[in-house]
Amino acid sequence: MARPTLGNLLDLEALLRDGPTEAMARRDQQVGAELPDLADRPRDLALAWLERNGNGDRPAAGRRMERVNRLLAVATAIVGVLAGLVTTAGLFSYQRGGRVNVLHLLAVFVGVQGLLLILLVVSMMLPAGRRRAVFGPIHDLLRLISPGAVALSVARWFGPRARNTTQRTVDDLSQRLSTHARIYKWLAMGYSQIFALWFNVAAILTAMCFIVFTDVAFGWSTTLDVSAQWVHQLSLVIAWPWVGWLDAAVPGAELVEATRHFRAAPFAVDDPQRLGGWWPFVIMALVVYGLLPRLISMTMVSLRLRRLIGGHFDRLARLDLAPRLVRPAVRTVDNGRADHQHAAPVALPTDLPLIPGPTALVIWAGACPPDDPVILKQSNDTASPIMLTVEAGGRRGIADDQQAIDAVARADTAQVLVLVKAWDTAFGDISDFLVELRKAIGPDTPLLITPLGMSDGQAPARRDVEQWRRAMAQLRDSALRVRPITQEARR
Amino acid sequence: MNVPVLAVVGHPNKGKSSVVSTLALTDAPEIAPDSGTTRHSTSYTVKVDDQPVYALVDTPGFQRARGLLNWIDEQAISPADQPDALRRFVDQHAGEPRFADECELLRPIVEGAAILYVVDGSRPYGEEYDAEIELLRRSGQPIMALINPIDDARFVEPWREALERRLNTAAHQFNPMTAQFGQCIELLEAFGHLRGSWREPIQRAVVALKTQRQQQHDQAAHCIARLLGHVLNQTTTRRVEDDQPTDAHESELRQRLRQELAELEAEARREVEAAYGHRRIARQEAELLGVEGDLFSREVWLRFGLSRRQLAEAGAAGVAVVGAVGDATLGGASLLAGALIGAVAGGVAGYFGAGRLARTRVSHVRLGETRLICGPVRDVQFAFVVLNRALTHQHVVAERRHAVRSRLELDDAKTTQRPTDALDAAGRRGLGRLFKQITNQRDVDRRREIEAKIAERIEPLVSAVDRAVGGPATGRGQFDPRPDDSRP
Repeated sequence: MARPTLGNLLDLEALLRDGPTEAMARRDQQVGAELPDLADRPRDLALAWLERNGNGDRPAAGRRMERVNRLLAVATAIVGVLAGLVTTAGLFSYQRGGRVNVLHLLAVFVGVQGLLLILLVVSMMLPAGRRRAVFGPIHDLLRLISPGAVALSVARWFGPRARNTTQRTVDDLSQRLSTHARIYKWLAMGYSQIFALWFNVAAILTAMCFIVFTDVAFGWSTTLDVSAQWVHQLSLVIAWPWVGWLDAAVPGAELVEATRHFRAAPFAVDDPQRLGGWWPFVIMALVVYGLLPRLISMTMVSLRLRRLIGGHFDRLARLDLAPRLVRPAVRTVDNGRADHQHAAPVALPTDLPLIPGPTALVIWAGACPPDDPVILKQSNDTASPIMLTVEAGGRRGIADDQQAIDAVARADTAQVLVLVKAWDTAFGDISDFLVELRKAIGPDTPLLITPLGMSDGQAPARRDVEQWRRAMAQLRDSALRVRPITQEARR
Repeated sequence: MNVPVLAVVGHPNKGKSSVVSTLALTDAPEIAPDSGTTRHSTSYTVKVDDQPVYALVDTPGFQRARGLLNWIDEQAISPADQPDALRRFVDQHAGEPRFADECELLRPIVEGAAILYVVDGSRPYGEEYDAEIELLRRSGQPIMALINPIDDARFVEPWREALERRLNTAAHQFNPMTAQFGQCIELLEAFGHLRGSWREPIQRAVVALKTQRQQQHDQAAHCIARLLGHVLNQTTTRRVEDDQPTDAHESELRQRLRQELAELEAEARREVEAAYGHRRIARQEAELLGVEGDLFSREVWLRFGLSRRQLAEAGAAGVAVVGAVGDATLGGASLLAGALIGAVAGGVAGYFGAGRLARTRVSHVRLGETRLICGPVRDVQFAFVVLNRALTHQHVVAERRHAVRSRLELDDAKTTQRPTDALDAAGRRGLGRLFKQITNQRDVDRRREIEAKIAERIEPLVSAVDRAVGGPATGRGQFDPRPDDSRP
């Protein structure tokens, strides 16, 4: 699986930040369709997507970051080399008595570096909470002299406006850095390891130059009351990693004894060549306690950084990008000429009571059985009794409708009551019937449309009655009315 | 015809446009309570990756079915020629106003579309439907019947018997306004059985819709997790000159924090709605932060927060950890009494703290001047309130079909169940732990990791909307977000 870089991560974030435009969405779908094998591998899918996007529409933040990263790494290495060179040269320069103090070399290249290495390992292994507890005071101290704190302290002298502006800038930068705080922290740690690595490389090379091209006289000297035997034991402890397989680099007791010197008492040298005998030990100490640990720590920091970047990248790829690429694009296309008609807000016909006189009854589409209480009550109404009942619509044919119309016309009643189902909204059919009926009975005979509720005695729904009123208004029949039945009338 | 096309036909005002809207995943069809709103047939094609998978045709309702049937009968056509007769009718009467609706609805049928016949299950079957049923039977096209219980379902069974008898087809009960996602999928899968060649495109559509649905759930879960990350880290600050009193500003800070939290919640809701494809919903809701001048309404907390027992269970987590550390320090000599004591203490503290309102901190940080910082809210109960409200909203949105055009109702007074009731004690405890970890988490990377874990934990609650059956919640694990008075 390919490895994403910090630049890839920044580019992916930048491209995902604002969400896809229409053009990008289509391109995303196309990329997803071209890479079906990568659907289960979000990381590879995202890398391929970045490659195809080419950052055409966005600033190349990732490329800039990687360039800066490379420059910083090179600069740090150069500084490390210079520091190693200067430090080693300084230590190897002849001191008073013409000796290079081995204890000084061990203090700097083994002691100090070892301590820094231990601190690094401890900080890497401690969980965040404990780390804060252990290193918190150091962090607080460093925070006091951080660039932001220094800027704020300076800005205070220039008035409240400068102070507020500086505070906003510091807050904004803090926000940006906190977005990937851990990544930048490990990046900074990586630079420190690059420095340390090249420091040791330069130290070793400088030491070798001194050893090869000059005659270095090593010795050891201390104010403390220590015996040569103790120093020998110390050197054996330090030489432990290579004892047994590189004994030439292990200083013997005689060498230790012979190379002790005191500033106040210059001594005679029996065997000047012996004074150089410490050099294998010094070089091995530099390699084992300087170079090798830094190689290991740099590898660990690189791996940690790689895992962090990879983890963020994978999370973005899996949660934000992959759904855009592999999500099936489901969309609906409207193919037709949508044309809708809304009921015109016409003045609805108002109710009219039955007029005295014989009444013809039309049961439309089986609105109710002939023995429905409505019909029975109306039949018993002495003022407007039902003289004729016909059925039309429903399962009857057009010819049957015409027969019903003819029968009503022959009856010559005062009014015609038409019972309909309130919920039957196919107004076209009954409209045709009413037009023909009107022609047969004349323009003045009242036509009363009576929407019925369902057979369980319910009153018709008001919504249904209103629909009948609006639909019947379209017929523009001045003698046509909609007369809803009450619930009591059906009992 | 390789792409399944279904003409949705029926009496006027029986929910045809709603059925099209819901199954075609579009809010384009005009839906109105008045009969005869649809005047022309309109086809809506659903595409997956730009490949059409099925189409639904919204048609005007039958207005003169008897007249059409009468015309066909007058032609004295043999049964085998009935489908051609319909085509001839359309050709001869195209442009004629009297039969405009019939021509529009027949056109896709004579062109080969299958028929989706929609009837109202809250109204009785009657003879007024005989003519149109006969016409559909004579069309020669495969027919599927949908019984739409618009107001209620009291006539569904009589309709089912009538349709199976008259059309020799199974009838499906389907309400396009309230159908769950699973029911829509079942219906689509049934389309695939109408013609053999339709099985593959319908299956492709079903797979795509299911995939899309799961991704929508995942996206919603992450939106809600992000919301929690934001609200549990939201602070508001104000710089005050050293010689100014701070009391006057604290009230303003709390008000501002309340406003910011409400805005965060509103933004998250918009993201969830967009995740489910509802980009413009008018909503009507009680604000998260209800009572004027009070940062947290007690009513909202009592409704959406955990019960005392639940909170005690969730609150025990953090203190038990402290107790366990004590055990480790003593090398186990305490016989784990530290953890036990810690759990009890935490539980007791949680119990007594359950009814309190949220407190916010006002901190003073010296940077050469006084800086007032209000927030973040550290109360785990607040986190559960936010979570339950977000999940309630998500359930309502996820179940909102495209046919629904009304305002999104989030009347909290009608919602009595908490989505987190579906969790067991361990689940609530785990969430409580994550809430504590994410509160005031300044490391943004770490916060995102915790948000991802929260999203993972709440995903079952998010997708529970598709596991709830059509009836009321029957117990733990089933959350029915519908208002209580609308549940059967």
